[in-house]
Amino acid sequence: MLLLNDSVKLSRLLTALAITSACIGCASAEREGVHYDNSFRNVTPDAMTAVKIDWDSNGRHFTQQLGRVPPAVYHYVGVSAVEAPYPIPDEVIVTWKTKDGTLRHQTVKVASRIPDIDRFKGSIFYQFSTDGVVIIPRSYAYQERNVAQGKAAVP
Amino acid sequence: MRHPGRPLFLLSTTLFVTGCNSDAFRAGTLSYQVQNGSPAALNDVEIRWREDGYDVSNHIHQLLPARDDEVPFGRYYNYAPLPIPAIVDLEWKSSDGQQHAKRIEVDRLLPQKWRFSGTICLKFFDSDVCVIPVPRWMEERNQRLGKATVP
Repeated sequence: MLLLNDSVKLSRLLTALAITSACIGCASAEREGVHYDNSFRNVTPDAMTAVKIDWDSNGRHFTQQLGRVPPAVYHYVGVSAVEAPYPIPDEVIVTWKTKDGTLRHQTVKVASRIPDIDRFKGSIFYQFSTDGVVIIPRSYAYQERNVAQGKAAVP
Repeated sequence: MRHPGRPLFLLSTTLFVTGCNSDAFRAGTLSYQVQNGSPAALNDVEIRWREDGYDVSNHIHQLLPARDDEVPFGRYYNYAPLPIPAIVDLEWKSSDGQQHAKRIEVDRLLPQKWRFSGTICLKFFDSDVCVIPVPRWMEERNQRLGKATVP
């Protein structure tokens, strides 16, 4: 009886430890404090090249070079940049080259396009169309749900 | 008689040992990438570190920049120093022929490097180099969401 009780206690203790370690593990899997990424989606039929974004923040200049962004087809959405510095910039200069070799620039407003920016967890999409670039924020929950339903993350 | 707490005991022990720690290091889950972020070719790129008491180096005669028409993934190396070295010394020549050198203290960039799995990207510019760790969870998330990951 004593053995049975000890075993049950041990099993409870290990369960508690397991849950704790699992929670700690999951929490540290995401980069602390980083909850967004810059994603680039091309909805034209041709690849965009020399794609980059530039912005200034707190006296520093930031550049992200993405290079080539192929058209989004089927479940391929686009390109995601690793670095995601805070704060999310107010304005960004987007540069890209179209199929005919024309180098285009466009300044886009970013921070003002993000709903509930302090709690935003998702991708800031720079969506390229023939008319230019628009900013479309999409939460990770939205993208994951679409993928779970067999759709592209951003249909 | 079968002990009623045994399945729970086994489950809890398994969970305790494995957890859901997706960042835990597993052999083969670490790779290195060397990328040229400058517009011109870089020459004589030398990457040196100390591993198990030995000096190890990797020489790249010419590191070409990503072309405008390609996604800048850079060069991948399956061979990765284990454990991740504390210090990496880097030397390279920029397109104007000038020699550059930089020492990177990886321990400061990756405070929990023993837990890291993913790709460590060394991104060279004309007169600077930076280390961009790309964690496995990010690579997996982007792959799941249909995106290419670009350091």
